[in-house]
Amino acid sequence: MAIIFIRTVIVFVAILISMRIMGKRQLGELELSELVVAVLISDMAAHPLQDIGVPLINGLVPIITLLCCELLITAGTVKSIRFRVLMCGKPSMIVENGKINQREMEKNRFTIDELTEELRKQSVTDISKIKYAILETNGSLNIILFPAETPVTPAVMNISVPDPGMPIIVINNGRVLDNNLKILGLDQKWLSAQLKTRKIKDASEVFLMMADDSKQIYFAAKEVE
Amino acid sequence: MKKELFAVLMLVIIIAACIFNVYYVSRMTEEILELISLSEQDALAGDWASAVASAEEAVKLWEGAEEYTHIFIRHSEIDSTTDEFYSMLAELYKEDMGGVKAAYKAVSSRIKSIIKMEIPTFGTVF
Repeated sequence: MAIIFIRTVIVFVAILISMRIMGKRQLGELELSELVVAVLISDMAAHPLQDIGVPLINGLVPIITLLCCELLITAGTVKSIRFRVLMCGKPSMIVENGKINQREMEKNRFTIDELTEELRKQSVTDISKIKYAILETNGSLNIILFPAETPVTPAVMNISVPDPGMPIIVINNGRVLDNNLKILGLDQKWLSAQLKTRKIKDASEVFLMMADDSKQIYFAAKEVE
Repeated sequence: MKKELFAVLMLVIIIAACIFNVYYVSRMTEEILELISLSEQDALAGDWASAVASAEEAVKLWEGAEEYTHIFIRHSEIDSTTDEFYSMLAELYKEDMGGVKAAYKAVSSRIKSIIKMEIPTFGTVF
């Protein structure tokens, strides 16, 4: 039992490190090679955990090998468009100018039910309002509406809107993030003044405090237990 | 670029480790097979004391490599091979030629299958 416990921890750490090295792409939408790697790693890692007669190296070597192959394939897809097309394929135009491209749907084995489901997910019910619907290489469907059908923006109405910038966390669960304060051009003095106006004695009483470039603040004190 | 270099380096290390593993296991199994062959010749010649000594040395060599073999070879294979070794010794102690011949064949076959499992060939890969 102790052996299984130790092996589980080792394999878990190995997979964590592998996924971390592979990067954010693995955690988001998966391309074909990424999906293959994710499935294989999870399957291979399980073998030495299920049977202690199988050497642990029989699980670790495949993980490392798959990680390395994935890193090299990803590098290849970044550097070469041809290689990228070979590995990932090309996006397909399923709808163009309000008309369904039936040939592309058949080529991708994409059914009408799947198409309408994807449209509903993006709150689109009228296909004639779609300028482009593109089936991406990772299987997701991206929709671009005709300009006349897109929601109105302040720019279209010639309305100027203040730009608050990106809100940044300055206190995270009682911890003051000094680096983030510096990024906003703020300091401890400013922070203390803000806490004082909210009748807070110390940053440790704050659950979340965010500020943006225009000094707009979102504040949440810790709930008293 | 760093990640790609790391990937290439890791693959090179793994390939090198595979080559080393094949070399080490080949050398170890060759030594063991030589000792078993020597033991068999001594047994055929009626020199049971020498046959037992050679066989025991082969067992010692096999058990000495246990730390290494447990890392790279299925434990069930290691256990089966160890059992065959002890069966061989049991027959040698009995000085039963018939039983000993069969035991030598069984041990040799096991040892040869171990090295076969480690060498990548068309048959082993597919």
